[in-house]
Amino acid sequence: MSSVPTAVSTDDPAVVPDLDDDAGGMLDGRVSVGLERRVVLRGAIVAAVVLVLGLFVPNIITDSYDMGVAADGVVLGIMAIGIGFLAHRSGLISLGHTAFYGGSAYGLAIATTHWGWSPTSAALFAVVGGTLLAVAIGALVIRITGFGFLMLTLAFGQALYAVSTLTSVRSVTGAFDGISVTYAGENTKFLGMTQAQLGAPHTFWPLAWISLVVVAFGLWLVGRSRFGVTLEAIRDNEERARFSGYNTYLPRLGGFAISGACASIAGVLFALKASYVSPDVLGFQLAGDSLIATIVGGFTILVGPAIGAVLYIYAQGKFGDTGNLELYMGLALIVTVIFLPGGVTGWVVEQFRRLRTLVAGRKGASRS
Amino acid sequence: MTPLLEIDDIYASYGGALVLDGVSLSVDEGETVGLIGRNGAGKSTTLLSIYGVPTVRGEIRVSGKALGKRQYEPASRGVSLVPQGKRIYPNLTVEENIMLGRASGRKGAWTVARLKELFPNLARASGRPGNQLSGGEQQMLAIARALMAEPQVLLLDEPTEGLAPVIIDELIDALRVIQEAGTALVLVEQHIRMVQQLATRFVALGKGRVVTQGAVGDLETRAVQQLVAL
Amino acid sequence: MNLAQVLNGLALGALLMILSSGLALIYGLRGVMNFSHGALYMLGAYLAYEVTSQGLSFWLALILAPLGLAIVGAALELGFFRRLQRRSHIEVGLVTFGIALVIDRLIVIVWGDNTLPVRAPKAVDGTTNVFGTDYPTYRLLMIVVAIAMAAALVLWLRNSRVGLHIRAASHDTETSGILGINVDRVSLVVVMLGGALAGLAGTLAAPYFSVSPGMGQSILITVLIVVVVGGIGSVGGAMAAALLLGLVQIMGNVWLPSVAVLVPYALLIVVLLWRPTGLAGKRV
Repeated sequence: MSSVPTAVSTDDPAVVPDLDDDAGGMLDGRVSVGLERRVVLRGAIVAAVVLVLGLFVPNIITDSYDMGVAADGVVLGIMAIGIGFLAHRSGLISLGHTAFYGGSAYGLAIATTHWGWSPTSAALFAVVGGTLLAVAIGALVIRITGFGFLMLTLAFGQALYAVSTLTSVRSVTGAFDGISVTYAGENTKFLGMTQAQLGAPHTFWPLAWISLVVVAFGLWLVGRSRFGVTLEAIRDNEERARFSGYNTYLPRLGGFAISGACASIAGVLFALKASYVSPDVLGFQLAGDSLIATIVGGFTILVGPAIGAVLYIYAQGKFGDTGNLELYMGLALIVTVIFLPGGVTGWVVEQFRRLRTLVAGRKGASRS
Repeated sequence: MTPLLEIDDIYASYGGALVLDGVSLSVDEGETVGLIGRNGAGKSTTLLSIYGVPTVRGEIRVSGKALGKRQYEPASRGVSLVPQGKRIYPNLTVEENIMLGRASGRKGAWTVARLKELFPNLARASGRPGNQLSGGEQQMLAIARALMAEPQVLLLDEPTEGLAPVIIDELIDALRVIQEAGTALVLVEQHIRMVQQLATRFVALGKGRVVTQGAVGDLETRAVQQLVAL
Repeated sequence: MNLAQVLNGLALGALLMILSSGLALIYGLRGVMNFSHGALYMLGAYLAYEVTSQGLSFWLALILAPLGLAIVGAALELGFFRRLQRRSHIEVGLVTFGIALVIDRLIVIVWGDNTLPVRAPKAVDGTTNVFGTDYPTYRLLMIVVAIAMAAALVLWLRNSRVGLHIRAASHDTETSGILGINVDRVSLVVVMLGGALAGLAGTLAAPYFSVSPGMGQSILITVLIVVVVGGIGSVGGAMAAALLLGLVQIMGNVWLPSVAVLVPYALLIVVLLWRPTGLAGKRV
């Protein structure tokens, strides 16, 4: 053999070849852990500051269309960080989160429009329902990894899409026409906002932004907790974790349910803002696009997928009319997977790290 | 005379773990070399390094010419491996497994018929898929498959693993025939008895390095045995 | 259920059989679930349209389209699969997903959004009497071509040297390399063949389904399900599963039309949960 440099580095993944089809390459992550009070407090302060600052965005973005892009991006971002959480912590790529997103959107629409519930109770119902759906589906699919998992989530998601288009249940779902969400009865406000206010991006923004920050903070806490560490151990070597005495099924199911809950919250927010749900919220295009947004944004950073989602919504607005959106999505996915495994945010973080080592190196050199 | 096979001070690693820490080994035409050492010493890795399975730094030469990076090159240059664990194809028949040896592109005296003569068990198992063979039959099939490639040097990685003594004797007889045909052998074994019966020379590995080497006769001496820690 | 419906099921199964064989071959060897397979099929159909719209015969399209797709397959192997060998299978799968999106859009850019007609050749344009039923001759052709292709493929895999190398390398890539098989070259053959089969399926489908931009996506999920149900990497299993699914789909359309569309999903879910490696397991 001619000279082949050895890759001797402590960062390398397990010596034993990866027999599972999950993880590898872009799915390796090194995270810090621990929920000491000081760390949690610091995180909470950061979250609070970000929350408050974000509330001023409507003052900066005056254009209604641009505000809409930001709001829609944030809502999709909540689903995306859920998908990203699952991909990062459990090494599982899902094409089926539209089931929970669309499922809870329909849940809200049906509960308000057909059953006459108030928006608040309907929203609660939808989020809980979506999460329970995630638990139900997760219970079945979580034992399988890799392509099998991808196929199963795709199958469940698209089966639900098919159901939403069936003419036989048109009275409930509206089939291809969807449901125009109407609030009836005395209680027509969601947390004090009227349907009109929910539909206007500037007034909707606080709800979306606060939801994103709260969900992100929650996922951050979960990630640093012992539960999060367990998930990662299972991700890296399921067999070893099982032999070490961990129940691998329940934590994985929990991780799936949590990520599904994020998608459900996003779905409800979508329905509240759009006041209209159609099978598109369950369709293949959204499933694919939300996954691509997650990957392009980069899921090794918690908020990466949210940034990807905002970029996607922006691109959707820009290229949607030309019809070339999917072309760019495809190219973005190919380029990201091959050259930027950490996504856009992963790349940015890597540049900062390089800069920091460069600076530290210079300092060291000048000192000696 | 140029050695047939030269492994020249190689370092091999899997992922981040260094397994071979500077190993050299050479095999001359027609000779049989025993490669011994404890579990994990790096014996299998030494053989697999020829095929680029671990990440390798250092040069390996066949008849004086260095091997390139392609995994299929050693077989075409006359270096055939009988892997540890046999690795026969369970989904292919006995004949198909043997015929795969032709993938080396080398042709010569060995034919399916002659190999069945050498290993009567295989003749009896004719037409059966690999997963229906016993351990001994699988081992013979693996050797037959490697011989079909007309090797100049045959590498055997723990061929007696899990085999009954009766089968081992059959194996030794077959290997003697192969030796008489002029093929060089590298015999990797944890237990030294087979090495003592077949080899003229031995190389002992320990923790990824060559610990000692010499004539097979020396294996009798306690000093060597302690060194090899067998 | 009458004979015509059974034959319709077989016709659909025939298409799926051709498509899924290629997909199963590629998966068996490279370990990649080629999400662009539906797009390749669609490209084959559009190439067939292109050939016939130039006034050339459909029979010529039946040769040219697969040839063209074989070249596309070579591009996939050389440009992507070979370079991404060390990456995880999921990552390569995602890349093929992206490729599918790109091909889908490029097709619309070149040929537009409309449904394009491809006429079946005159010789098979009528009906044939099959056991008392008048059945479109073209669909019989589809079934015949698929069966001939399946037989030829299986015979070739079992009896040729390259076929042996494919079966060996699909089972154990490393040992095959050690024995002297140039796995990269075998891969090239397999991916080109898979592409050609997709092109063949697309060409056959063109007069039957008509040529439209959504055909790639709509068949992709079905063919993925067939390959998984048939057993990961098993060509024979995929073929059997294809016929099964074709028949089951038509039966579903006849007996439970309101939920027929859910049948493939139900099948996939049941099979994957009951036997995670599919029905046939890993064998070629």
